[in-house]
Amino acid sequence: MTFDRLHRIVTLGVIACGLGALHFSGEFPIWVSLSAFLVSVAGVKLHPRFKANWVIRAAGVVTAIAGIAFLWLAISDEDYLYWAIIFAIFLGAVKSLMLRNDADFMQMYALTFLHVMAAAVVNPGISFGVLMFPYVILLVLGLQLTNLRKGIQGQALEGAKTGDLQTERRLNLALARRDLIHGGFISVTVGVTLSVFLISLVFFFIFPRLGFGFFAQQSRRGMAMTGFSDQVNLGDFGNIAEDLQVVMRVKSPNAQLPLRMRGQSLDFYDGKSWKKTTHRRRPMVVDSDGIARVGRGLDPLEGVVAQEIYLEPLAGSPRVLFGMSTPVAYQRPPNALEALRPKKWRFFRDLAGDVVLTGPDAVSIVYTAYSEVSDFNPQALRVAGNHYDERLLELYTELPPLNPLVEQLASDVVAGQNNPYDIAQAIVSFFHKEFSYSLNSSHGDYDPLADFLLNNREGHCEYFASGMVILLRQLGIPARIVNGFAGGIHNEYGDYFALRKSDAHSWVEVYFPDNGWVTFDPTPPAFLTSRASPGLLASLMEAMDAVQLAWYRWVVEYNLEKQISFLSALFSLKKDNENSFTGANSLTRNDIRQLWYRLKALPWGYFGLALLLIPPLGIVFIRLLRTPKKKKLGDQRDPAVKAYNQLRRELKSKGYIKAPTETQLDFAKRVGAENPELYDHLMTTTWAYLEAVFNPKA
Amino acid sequence: MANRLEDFVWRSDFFPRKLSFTKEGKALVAISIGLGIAAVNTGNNLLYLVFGISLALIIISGLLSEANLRGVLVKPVSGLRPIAGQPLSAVLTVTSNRTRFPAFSIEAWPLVEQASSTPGRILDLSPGTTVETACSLVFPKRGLYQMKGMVVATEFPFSFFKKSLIISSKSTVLVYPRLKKPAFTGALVGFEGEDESRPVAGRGVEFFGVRDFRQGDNPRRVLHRLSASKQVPVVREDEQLGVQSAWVALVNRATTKDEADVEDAIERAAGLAVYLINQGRMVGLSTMSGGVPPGTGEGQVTRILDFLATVPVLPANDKSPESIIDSFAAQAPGAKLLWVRP
Repeated sequence: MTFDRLHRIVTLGVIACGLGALHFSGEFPIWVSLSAFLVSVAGVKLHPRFKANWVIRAAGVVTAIAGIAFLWLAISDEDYLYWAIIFAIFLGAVKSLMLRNDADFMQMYALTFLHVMAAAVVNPGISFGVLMFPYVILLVLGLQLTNLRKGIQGQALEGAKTGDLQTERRLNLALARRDLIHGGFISVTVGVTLSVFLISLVFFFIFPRLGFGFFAQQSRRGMAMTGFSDQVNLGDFGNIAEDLQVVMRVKSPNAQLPLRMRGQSLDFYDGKSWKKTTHRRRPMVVDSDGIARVGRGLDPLEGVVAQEIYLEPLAGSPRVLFGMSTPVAYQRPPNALEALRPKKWRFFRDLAGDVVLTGPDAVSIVYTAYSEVSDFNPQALRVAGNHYDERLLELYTELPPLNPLVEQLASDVVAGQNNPYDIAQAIVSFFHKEFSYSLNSSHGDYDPLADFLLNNREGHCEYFASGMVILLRQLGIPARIVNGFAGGIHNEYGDYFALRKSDAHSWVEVYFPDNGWVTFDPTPPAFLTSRASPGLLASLMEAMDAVQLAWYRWVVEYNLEKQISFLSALFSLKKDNENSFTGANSLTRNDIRQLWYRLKALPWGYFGLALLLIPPLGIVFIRLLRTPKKKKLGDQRDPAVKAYNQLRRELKSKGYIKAPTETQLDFAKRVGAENPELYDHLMTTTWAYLEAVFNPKA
Repeated sequence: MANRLEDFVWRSDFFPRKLSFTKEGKALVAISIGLGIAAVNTGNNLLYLVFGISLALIIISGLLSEANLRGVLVKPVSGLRPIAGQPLSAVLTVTSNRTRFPAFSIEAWPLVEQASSTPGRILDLSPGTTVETACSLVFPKRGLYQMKGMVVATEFPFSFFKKSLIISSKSTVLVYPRLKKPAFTGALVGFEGEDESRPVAGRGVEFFGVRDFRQGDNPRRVLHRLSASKQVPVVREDEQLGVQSAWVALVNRATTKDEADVEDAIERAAGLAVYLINQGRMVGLSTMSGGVPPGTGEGQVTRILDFLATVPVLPANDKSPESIIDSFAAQAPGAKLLWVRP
């Protein structure tokens, strides 16, 4: 491949990486980046057609007009960033057609750098990180090739007239060289690329995360997810079940698959949608350990299951917190720096006992949920009775006007059962036996639940859970629908449980006096198998998710806490907790104080002195390095040379040193004159040495 | 002030390396500063990452340009005889003393005060090899210039910085005045009847005489036996018939405060002398500051131009130039005197 072709292809790669990083943000329609890329591809082949001066002038005019148009769109849209980025893409596309000399290539790289900067703002996803690798490799190579192109141009155009045909021919010939890219160049490029990666990472991790950025938190676009607001239309929640995007990751020594993470309950059904009428929330009291308890008691937290949860940013606020049934407390990682942030995290609990968290929008949340996971004794539930609190009955037995056949169905299904537990179990069995799980069923708009119960007995979890709640309420038993996640996979690479959007699930909680809310799941267990992915794909996705989590934790959400944690680990103040989602292992005020003392105790005066001494010492060192070493004459292995050197050393010990102006023979004669007994020996050895050095072949 | 400091650093021997930003380098530093501010301001970690990449590019650029210059040597050029205002091509020999990695994008040129230079470029210098490249030098005016050494420079790898290293090698470069073509063509006034003139030393076949060896003489013309007996090198001169000798009499005294007209006269004198010598004439040069005895051939051209390269411009005074020049020119009676005045 010729030098010119290689340079253009590498540049195309750089452009593609920049455009890719922007495209995968999902902010721009595909035609924007695709058309820019296609124009750049065309530029590799068609660039000679865009050399004429009038074309360049025309491109300038078009760019100016486009700039005005984009400005107008930005003003009318009030989305300046969006249109500025599209204009940058447009500029890159135009420039890619007109890559003539080294300056053009440099401008092209500057534009791609601008694309990457923009992508850093709009695309925090792993795609940005993945594309940064080829981008840096190709950018380093492209910049080096541009440097060589500058040299080639300099050689070819030296003293030549611009636009001259002969000069043009000479330049084209020079650019068609194939011998410049050899092993040496490639090894230098590899070394440079690795160094760029290494230094970038060092800078990234050590650059202090202070300044204004400290007060903000790393935000990402919130994942759209229905089912966790105060109103959910019947059918909406179950329909998200085909999306494999990970919503939360759970670490818990007691967790087992399938994992069931409870989110929020809904109490009021109007025939078409579920609503939360218990949405009045009160702030929860947080103790000195940062623990917010849902109910009274359980102090200390013993016999409960702790789950550390990494919750992806979800659209909407406040954020519903998840935990295994039944959550009794929640805890944010205690952090001394948290208090400095203007927007603080606060726990709120509603009347139904569901807990939400308020705080910065569109950020991931790491917290620990403590749950009381106990297997209820069926016998105890059977004898729990049906003496319910009036307020409870009011909330959880209310029903919309129902189809009479549904009322009849409730009586038929539970015929012969005489306690709430057996009734609930009978309804669950009824659904498992008589209904089938389907994501593609349709139940119309009029009375979807009646259609599901009486006609088309296919549906997803939401229909099952709603059907069971309706039937129970019909029989006067308090019940509610609960939305959360069930299923999940164990990620071997990251050693955590991942729950995806497709694991969204609805089930039922039934109230038993003295026992509280007990979970029943009327959905046939087939729903779990329907969400499983094929083996290889699942494994790939697990690996990808582990990488993505690492990307989020260590790059996108890297912050001052993690930096201090590193420093603390460096000073052996504490161990960095690698296995935790926070990375920083619960940084406290005491840790920071200890770190400050250690830093203060360092000999800063000596460091300052060393800094002052480094330049002069460096200069002396460089001078010493530059002083050429005196080259020893002759083959040092030659016996004659060895004998002469030995003689010189012996004479030196006796005080005879050869003057720089003396020849070896003069020296031998001088010493011989003072020591006649040595004269012959001195002359013989010296002559042998001179023969060995100056006439070695003889 | 900044320019003076930059010039001091560039000329100083204390700083073995010189580093200057290219246009692209300045742009990158500006972008990096902007990125740093944006990253600190927003706390966006990906901006920190891009900022890290830009800093890495700057650091690697500095380190690698240093590594790229290590072990690269340029042999100093000597014997340059440039003419003021005319580009002079000089061949440079560049050697890589390295054992492993090649050097890329090397530029080399002699560092001469006040002279502008176009460097010789080598794209790829393999370890242990020697290559030749040509650089171009232009000197603004005649005179003696100090050459400080040879400059080896590189913008490798990213063209963000230009790092230069001066290999010290002090010498001087004598720059000849411009050769202004004489206004006349054809026979010169006063040269009529050349055939009747008496024989003089010059181009011919007959023996004319001997004289001491002078700079510019062809060493082949040295008479070795005679030189040995006289203990000084002696050359043979041939008789050139029909050639009349001429004295170019240059008045190197300023008539006004402006020295430019004297410089112009020097250039005209140089052009005239070279023109006459190229016509095969014997030409001498006399000025108010000395002169060059008549002679012919390439050697005489060199002697006259060497003299004219450094002939001083005298301040205006009352002394008559004619008396001084005439007395000098009287050493060769019969020669025609051609006056060149400011």
